[in-house]
Amino acid sequence: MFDIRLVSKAALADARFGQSGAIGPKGPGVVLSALPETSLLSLLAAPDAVALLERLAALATHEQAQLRSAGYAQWLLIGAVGTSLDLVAIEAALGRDAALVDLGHARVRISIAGPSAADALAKGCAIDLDPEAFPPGRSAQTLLGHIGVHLTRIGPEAFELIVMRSFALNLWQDLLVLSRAFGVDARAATDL
Amino acid sequence: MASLLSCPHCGTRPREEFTVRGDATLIRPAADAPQSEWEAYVFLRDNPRGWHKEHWHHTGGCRRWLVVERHTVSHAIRSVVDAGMRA
Ligand SMILES: [Zn+2]
Repeated sequence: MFDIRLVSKAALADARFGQSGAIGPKGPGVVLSALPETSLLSLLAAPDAVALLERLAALATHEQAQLRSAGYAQWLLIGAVGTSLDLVAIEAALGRDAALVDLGHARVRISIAGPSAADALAKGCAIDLDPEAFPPGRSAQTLLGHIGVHLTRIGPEAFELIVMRSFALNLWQDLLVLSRAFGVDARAATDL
Repeated sequence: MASLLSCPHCGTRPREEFTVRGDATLIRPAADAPQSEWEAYVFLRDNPRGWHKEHWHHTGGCRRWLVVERHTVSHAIRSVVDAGMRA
């Protein structure tokens, strides 16, 4: 007999969705989307690893995954939606050159996009988000308010946040507040 | 942001992202060193006014340990290097 029944549930299932804030005639300045939960791997290079970035890039292509820089000699590998990363194959390919940690159930991804997305993020984060300083493809591990986030610019007006699961709902609420002045459309993962 | 530090890996970041551990000039005694040496290493600290080398951890960023040469009065910073890569 179990006292508590464990239920598999998306971290942002109970988040507040819908439109709010000062939406102007051009529509919401910010579109916030809970991204589908995928497999996610943290990779840390061994000190004597050789050409690891090139090998990781090849692995990412092979797995149809996305590779993100996560600081000195650290990366995140994000599996495609609806599939699982082949951990056995990845481990075999990298051998002792990298330490792997499966963060699939430990992190949640949020998309923040729209003409005012950078302005909303700038209220809570110290990264210079000018496209010259932080172009598409660039990532940074940093703080948004008091919450640690991994931030990536996906496009000129689109960003991805990766946050620890237990902070996801708190971050979502913060993002709604930061975006209120621009008008915000907050979408559930199932709406994508 | 009042207080900034340039991480060699992450660029300029606010002080809130870092944790200060203190004196980076201490040298760990040998395991069999006399107790007085170990006491000095663990407990005794100078409180310098002026230039000082400290260990800073980039907790909110790359999570690397850094050695920061910093002026304790003005917070002017002369150098920041990765603690694992200093010569
Ligand atoms: Zn750093």
